[in-house]
Amino acid sequence: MAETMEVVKYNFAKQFSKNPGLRFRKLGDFSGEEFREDVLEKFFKENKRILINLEDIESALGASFLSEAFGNLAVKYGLEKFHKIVQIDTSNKIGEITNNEMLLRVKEALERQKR
Amino acid sequence: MTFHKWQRMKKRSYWKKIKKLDERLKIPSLKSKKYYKIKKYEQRKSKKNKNNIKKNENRTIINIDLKSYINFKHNANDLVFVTKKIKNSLKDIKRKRFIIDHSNIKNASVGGLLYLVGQISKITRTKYSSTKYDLNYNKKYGLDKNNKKLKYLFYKIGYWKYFGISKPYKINIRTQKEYFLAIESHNQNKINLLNNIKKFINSNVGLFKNNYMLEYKFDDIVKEAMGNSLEHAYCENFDEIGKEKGRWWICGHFDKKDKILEILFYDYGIGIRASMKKNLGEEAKIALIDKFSDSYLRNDAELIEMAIRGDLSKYKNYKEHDRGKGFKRFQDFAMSSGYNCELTVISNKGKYQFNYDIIGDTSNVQKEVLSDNIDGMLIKWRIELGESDGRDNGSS
Repeated sequence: MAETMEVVKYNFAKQFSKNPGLRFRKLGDFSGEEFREDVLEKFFKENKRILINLEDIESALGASFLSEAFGNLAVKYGLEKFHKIVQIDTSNKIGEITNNEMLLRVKEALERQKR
Repeated sequence: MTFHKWQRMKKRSYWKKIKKLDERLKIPSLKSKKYYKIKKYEQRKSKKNKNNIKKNENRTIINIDLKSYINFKHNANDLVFVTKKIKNSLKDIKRKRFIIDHSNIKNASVGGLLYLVGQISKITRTKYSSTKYDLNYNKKYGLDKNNKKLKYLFYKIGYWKYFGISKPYKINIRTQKEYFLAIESHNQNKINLLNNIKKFINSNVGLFKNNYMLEYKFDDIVKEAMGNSLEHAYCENFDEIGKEKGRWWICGHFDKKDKILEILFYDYGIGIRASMKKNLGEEAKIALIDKFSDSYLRNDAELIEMAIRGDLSKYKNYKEHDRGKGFKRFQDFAMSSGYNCELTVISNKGKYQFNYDIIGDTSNVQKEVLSDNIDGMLIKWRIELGESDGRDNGSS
């Protein structure tokens, strides 16, 4: 029987920030590190799926943010588990483009690990 | 003349008149309360003036004569000269009085002014412990009064306002041809400023209209530049006189006539060479020397090129291998803007300029070695929007 997982809809702008920050906590609020540790990690531990909606953000999740938040988790838990847990809502342009960028950063992180 | 000043002048002349009369008659006359009030004020003022004169007598006057060109295109040496002069005058600053002479300036660029603000802020920070401090505008050392264009540029880019000078002169030009995003500065990650830049762009051109991919890339490069200033431009124990760790500046300019948009970013940190050494650790030697000729040390323009090509992340000691690609994204943005675009990075003695031509889908790189070090790093994107100015950009 296929494993069913609880899906939690996460409005990034409302629940985290309209203006995500940089890579590390030391560089300011709403960093990629903060998002990974305080938000995403919980979903991996509780084995719940997160569907991230980015529609209302004012500024983009930059490459450093994506690399730190998503890339490191793909390395830690493996790509299969990562895709099971993390999903970006691609029904809008912001989500679609951010998702593509996120996949690139995840790929880079996995390549980094191989070296 | 303000009403207050006029009133004060009238009172002073009245007081002087009575004082003279008293001295002549040598008999003190009966005076009103108002007289004693003015007398007290004048005495206090004259004492203050005497003290100021005494104070200034003990001070060394440092004259910083700004040269004809305040830009990196025509003559970067003039800016190098200012850097050196300011650096040399920061010791024992409390005993010094600074005069920054603007009267010889003939030509200035937005990038040159951004750099100059950073340099002058070293004086205010050392002398008054503030990067932004209210200075006085003295017409004698101010801009050429007949150069309206220059006066307009300095005023609109926020050069004077940055140092608390709100109305240095009257601006008569009412142009709709040029728009400015005044100089802003911070020492932390300030995403609100990124939104201000986007507002500035959106109010003038349709660069991001129906093009979220480009907006994404723009957000990314500005955040990358901020992160670069906060993380790499200043080392952990950074303690250089006059400089504040993490400090960066940003500004923008849109020339409506030529349809050119410029966004500039500046920090006065350690520069490209020291930053590479810091990040590469033991492998810095390998990176800084050209492997095709053992003894040849790469110049600063070549180091900028290495960073832009993304060559740094291949070094195994580079802090995590997927990093060190921020500069590469600066150039990617220039190539994907959909217009002719120029990226210029200046740091230490190196100037790197990348030009992308959209029609021919060609690019070229120009590298230049400056006569001396400039402080920190200046990054500029210059987009030629052409006739469409981006407003009819229907790409997605």
